[in-house]
Amino acid sequence: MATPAKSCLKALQDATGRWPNRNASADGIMGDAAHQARKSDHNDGNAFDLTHDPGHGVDCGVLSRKVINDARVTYVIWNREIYNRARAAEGWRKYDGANPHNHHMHVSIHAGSREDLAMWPWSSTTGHIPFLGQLRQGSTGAQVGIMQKRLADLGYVIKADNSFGIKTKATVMQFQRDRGMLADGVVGKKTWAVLMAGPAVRASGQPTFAR
Amino acid sequence: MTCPRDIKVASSSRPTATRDRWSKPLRWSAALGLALTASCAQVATARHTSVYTSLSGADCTLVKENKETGATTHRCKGTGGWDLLVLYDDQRMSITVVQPDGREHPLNFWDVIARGYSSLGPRAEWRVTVSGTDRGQPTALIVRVNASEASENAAKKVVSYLVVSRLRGGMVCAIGRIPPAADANERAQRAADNATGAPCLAQ
Repeated sequence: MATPAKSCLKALQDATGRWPNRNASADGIMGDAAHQARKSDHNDGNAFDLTHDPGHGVDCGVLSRKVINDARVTYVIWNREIYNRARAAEGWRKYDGANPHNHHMHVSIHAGSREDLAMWPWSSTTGHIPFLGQLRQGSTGAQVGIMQKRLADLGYVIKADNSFGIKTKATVMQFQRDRGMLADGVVGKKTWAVLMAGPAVRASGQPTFAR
Repeated sequence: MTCPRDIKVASSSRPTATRDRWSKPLRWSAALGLALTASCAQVATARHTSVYTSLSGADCTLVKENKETGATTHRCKGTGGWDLLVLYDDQRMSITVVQPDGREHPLNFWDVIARGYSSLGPRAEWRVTVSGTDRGQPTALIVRVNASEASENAAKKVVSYLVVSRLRGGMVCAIGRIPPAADANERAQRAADNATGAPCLAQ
């Protein structure tokens, strides 16, 4: 059974993180059961629709022109125009599908980019990186790598290898002690939020938090 | 209501000067007679029946497809020379009505009913006149629109509306959105049979 790509989840969650009051009535990732037999990247969870709500900051006219530069993207549809990165030389072209796409922007991504949690053009430089599940000793994967990189950016001595080993656990416990939290070495929702909500990375690489 | 067949009404071709000289009671009774006549005419022409046509499968022909995105347009046979274009694009559906003379009228469900994902029910209900010179002609259309009203992820809430669209007696457009209810079918038919002059749903 198909599941929503994490990068697509991040795209919408980051938009909500940046514009909390935005209208999300035309948002979507997973395809509707009624349309499973049709051709659509939504049916594989490899596309997202972002609601146009310029009154609350979400101007798809602007965002569509930025998001086409993201290597994860295959094509974008906005306001009766389509841009396909495989046909980049043609630029934005007239879109002849029946839906004018003037209430939402459609973004399709490569299947190989499903786990790629890099920033979207509207992602904040800190925070709004979605919590996708508890991390503890033994966990592996991209989310562990993001957490390790964030700790390293904050000045902790840690290697981002996507593997939550005993050294990572010790570093997480130190981070939790530094923040006055229960030092259990498990990254749950609260630890994740505190970790991601910290100040931006310092060029010096010095710890941001007093230790 | 029983419509009297022999109401005597002053002819509107009577010269204005003469009409103006009518006594007040006579003017009132003439006005009442006109109102009754108009009301009865409405009842007489408001006899409708339903004709059902399919919105999918063998009854419809693919007329347009965007290979890049999967958007499609199917033409489905209607009634009385009317057809429907069933539009699918980006997990959303809508209908364009095609008159017998070929004129097309988009109903724009994705503007006026639901901006999120949507799908259509399997059949269209046409309200058709059963008497008078327009006998056999559809006056309104009822279709089911399943609208996804979820904001983001998995917890989708799908609401099934009956959407009533006017075909005659004003601009062709969607005029009613009946939410789920035990009497939704009856309400939709009533709205369809009284669609003349109803305002179009706003975008």
